[in-house]
Amino acid sequence: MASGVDFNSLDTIVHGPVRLGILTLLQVDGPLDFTALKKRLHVPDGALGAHLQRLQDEGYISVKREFIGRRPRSTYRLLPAGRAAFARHLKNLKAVIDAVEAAS
Amino acid sequence: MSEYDLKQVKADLDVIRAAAGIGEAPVRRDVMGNLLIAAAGLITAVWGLLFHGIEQIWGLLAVLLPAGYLVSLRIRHRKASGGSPQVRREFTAAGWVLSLAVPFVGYALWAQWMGIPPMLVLATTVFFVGMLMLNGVIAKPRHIELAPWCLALMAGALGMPSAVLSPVSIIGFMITAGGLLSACVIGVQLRQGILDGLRG
Repeated sequence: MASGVDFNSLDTIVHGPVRLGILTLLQVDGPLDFTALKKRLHVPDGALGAHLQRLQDEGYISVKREFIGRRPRSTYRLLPAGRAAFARHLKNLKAVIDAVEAAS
Repeated sequence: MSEYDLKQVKADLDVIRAAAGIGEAPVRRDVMGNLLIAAAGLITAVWGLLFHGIEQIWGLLAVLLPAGYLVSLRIRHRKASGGSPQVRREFTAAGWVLSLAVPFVGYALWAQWMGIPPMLVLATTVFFVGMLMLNGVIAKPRHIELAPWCLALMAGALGMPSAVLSPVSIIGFMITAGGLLSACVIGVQLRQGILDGLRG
């Protein structure tokens, strides 16, 4: 790779539209519940649930389940590992942009 | 680096921008919105020329209608999209701007006590609001389309104490100029593809 940037080194857990969107929202807005995430990302319940589970499995986010009245609510929060992974991903993206700028 | 890699980077940036609400740049409907407000401003200005006394005030309703329509559009968009942090931050900032009313009220009371003509107070207040907005635009050039509004406010304020036109007419012409020029700026940006480029 002429630019010196290895695109394949990008974190595949973060590098996906839905998971990246989740991490961005949790980073920018703080803890959010499932409904807010679904509304903001326009993703079906099943797909969103699967991506959230993947991020939980990696230790990037945590979930707090509670009942508001008789309705269940799951609130997701970014964990330090997730914050670090997101920051790393941004740094990698910036490196790619810098490399393109330097080459042009 | 392959074209595929770059597309991936662009896709990631688009996701981040959309999720963080960074892409709240003006779009084509904002041109129409500004033109609508400019037309309403013109109606207000003409109304101010045709009528006198307290009846002039009714002319301002023409501006409130498109302004209200635009606000309702924003609220509907916010409800549909679940809200954007960028827009929320801007609304919060706007709320803080309202706190400026406190020193302005103090200023108006002081001016009244000092015997300064109310029109002069209104003119200086409008001028400083325009100047503050311009300061915000300079600090955040991404919203350059707001610059004509600031300049129109400042120029209109200078004309207010003159007896050539009624204040309502001046406000109307001020809104017409701000809306028209702002629509032109957004139009030029869209034509150059700057905003479309930003949005990908």
